[in-house]
Amino acid sequence: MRGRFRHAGHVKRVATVFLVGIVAFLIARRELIPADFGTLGFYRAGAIDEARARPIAYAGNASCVDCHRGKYENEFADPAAPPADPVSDNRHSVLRCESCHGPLALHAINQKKRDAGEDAPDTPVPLVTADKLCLGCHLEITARPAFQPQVRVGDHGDTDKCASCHRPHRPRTDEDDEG
Amino acid sequence: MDQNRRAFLKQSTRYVLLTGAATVAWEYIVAGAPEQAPNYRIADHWWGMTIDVDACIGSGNCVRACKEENNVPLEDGYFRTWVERYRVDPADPEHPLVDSPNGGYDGFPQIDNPGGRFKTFFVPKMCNHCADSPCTQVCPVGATFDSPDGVVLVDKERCVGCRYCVQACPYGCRFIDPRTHTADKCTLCYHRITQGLTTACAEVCPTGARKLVDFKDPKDPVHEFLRTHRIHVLKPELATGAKVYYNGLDGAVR
Amino acid sequence: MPGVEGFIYPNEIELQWSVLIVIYPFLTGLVAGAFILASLERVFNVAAVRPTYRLALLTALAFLIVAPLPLQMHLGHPERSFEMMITPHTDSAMAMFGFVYLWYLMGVLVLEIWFDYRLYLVQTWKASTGVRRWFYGALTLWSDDVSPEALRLDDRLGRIITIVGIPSAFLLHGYVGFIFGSVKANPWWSTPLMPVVFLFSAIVSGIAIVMLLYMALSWRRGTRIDMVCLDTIARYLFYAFVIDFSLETLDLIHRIYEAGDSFGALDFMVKTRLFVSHIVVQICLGTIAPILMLAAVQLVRFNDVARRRIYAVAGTLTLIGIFAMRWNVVIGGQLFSKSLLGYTTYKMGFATREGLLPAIVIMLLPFAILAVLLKVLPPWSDKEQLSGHEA
Repeated sequence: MRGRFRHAGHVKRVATVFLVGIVAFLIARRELIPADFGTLGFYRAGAIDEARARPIAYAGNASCVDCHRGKYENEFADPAAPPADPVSDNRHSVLRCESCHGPLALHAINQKKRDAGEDAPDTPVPLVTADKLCLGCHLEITARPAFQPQVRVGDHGDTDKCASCHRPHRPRTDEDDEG
Repeated sequence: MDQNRRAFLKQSTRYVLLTGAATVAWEYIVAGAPEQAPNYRIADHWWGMTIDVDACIGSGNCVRACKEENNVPLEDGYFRTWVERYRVDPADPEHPLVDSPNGGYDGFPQIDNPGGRFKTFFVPKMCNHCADSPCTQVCPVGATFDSPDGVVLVDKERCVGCRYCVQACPYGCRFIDPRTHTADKCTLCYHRITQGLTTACAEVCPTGARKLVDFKDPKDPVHEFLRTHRIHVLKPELATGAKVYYNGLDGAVR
Repeated sequence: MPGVEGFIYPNEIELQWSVLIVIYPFLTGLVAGAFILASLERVFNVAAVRPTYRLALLTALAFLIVAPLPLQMHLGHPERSFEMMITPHTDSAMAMFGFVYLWYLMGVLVLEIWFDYRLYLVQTWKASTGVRRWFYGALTLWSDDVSPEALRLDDRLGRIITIVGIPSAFLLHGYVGFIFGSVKANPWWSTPLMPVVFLFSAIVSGIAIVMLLYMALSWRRGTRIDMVCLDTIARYLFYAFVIDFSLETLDLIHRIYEAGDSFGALDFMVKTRLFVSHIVVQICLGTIAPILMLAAVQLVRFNDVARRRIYAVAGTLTLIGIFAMRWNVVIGGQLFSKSLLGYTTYKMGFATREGLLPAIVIMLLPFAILAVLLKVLPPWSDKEQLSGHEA
């Protein structure tokens, strides 16, 4: 048997080169795979925590109500004549604050800090009265469903600002109530 | 947070949309370390979404809020969620006319509906967080994955930017972020939902057309919703296990 | 939006895979095809193609070295490409590329060339001095055993490697086809025929390029072309082409006859945006024309000069046709929206990272590498060159 391999020296050398390459790869592989890879599935488990660790922009309604409870209830429901059914009587009562006011997490966080006496910039809630905002939901366009109150610009309310007749938090006007 | 406010949050049923868990998480958000909020158990959740097509008024609120919340590039061509407008000729339902200018970010312009004969409606689109997602299947390096709570996420530290996942998504929900050169997509606002908040798109939707749902929560109204409505997913023939359930979805929607 | 017709999903504005991804399957196809031509001589004992055996191996090597380059250029994070080797996702059709590539490069091509050239390497090492001596010594791994027993062993091992190499070449390019064919989201790609079509088109393009290179190099070296060899290569090219064309036609007829939900969109695309590149260039100019020319040679007796001209034209058209086929698969598969309601256009940059200029450079690079390889590892000995003159 020895004779068969007497002239195989070069084959052994090339095999050694390949073997060294494979071993080097396996060692490098061990070093390069992140420690938390594969602990939950075929991915780096830390990526889940990274997906969680982002700042939020929208605070969520609960945090608005947390501070603005009085304002919130007074505006949406007239204390003198509370709506029998808030949804049908005042559809804006189901809107979340940030639907119109925009992202307010920064405002909420800074304000909480200021309340606690910490140093934080004043970030007031911007006043939004632009007609564009109203028309975003109430302009009459193709495909907007029939249940949604819609206006044609020019046909409705002349050139007045929306807010000159409709209070944003309780948009039904006296005329609406009568009609 | 003082005791009165906390008591109010717990008692209130009409205005407060969040659970007690979110109140705890809020303290961590204020402290600037939201990921350390301790009360999220990943095995207890299985996230998805329901979209009520009939309720969508095409305001584009969701598209704008999503870009704001998730720092999505503002240019056209990069959307984690968008809204499509359909005009379907009842005589030719296989060739609907669809438009989605800038994904609906700027709202929708008035458009022709000759004689009012077309059936028209809006359809919000987003990642379906498929249970058998084609995009995670094809990722060569495990940079995109289904999290144990059913959300398809991207690991931006490992994504090589080969774009195979973009090709594999049948819904066109993925894009390459031009700033990081890595794949990007809807995370179902993972940073929010794991702290008891809802997604940004659901938060700002004026009609509540979008609802975040947790299938593992027995008290989630989704179970009743799915039982009492005719629901549909997009492209069911591709068997992706899509978890965005549409109510009132028209057959013409692609 | 310019270039867009109908409705496309808003994220579909940007085309994901550029001309570089067209080049990638074109290059690997040439590799697989050239290797299969080489194996004709070694495994199937087709003695007539012996003059191109080494040339085919070197051609395969030159193109294989360049093959990953367009992929690397295309990645958003090329510096992370090693992840494909350290954490290959077993579910992913793309993940095995690194291993298939390395196996084919090191396990098959380099080894086969090494065993085949060992005698030459040792002789050159011993006969030279200085840097050249060191270089060739290193190439032999400083092992100078060229006894008849050792050479017999080399031949046996080379033969085994070739036998393993044929399925490996099939794997290499069938695999590339599978990367496209397995994307169920894309009806233009998603067909089980894709790997088979890719494989046969690869064989076609590989044979064609070796045939052209053999003619060009013979002309440059001033040697007579072995017409028996050339005729044999052209005959195999014809056979492979007929199979390739049948498969592509089968795919086409199947799509037309089945007329599934995507048919309307794809049909529209082929008749408009892909008409020139698909119908005119790929099918008429790049497939039917060369097949007819090669068939004519089988039927009619042309003289040597006429045959050489026909082969040169047919070979060139073949390469153009196969390149068009890669283009139509890769780019064509992205011109329609996954909503099947609209179409977009591909705008190629010029001096951008994935533009025309890098594409041209990458396409020329293998020829430069081949020129170096031909110097370092001459495929023909001077004796053969002489006998070529005499014959």
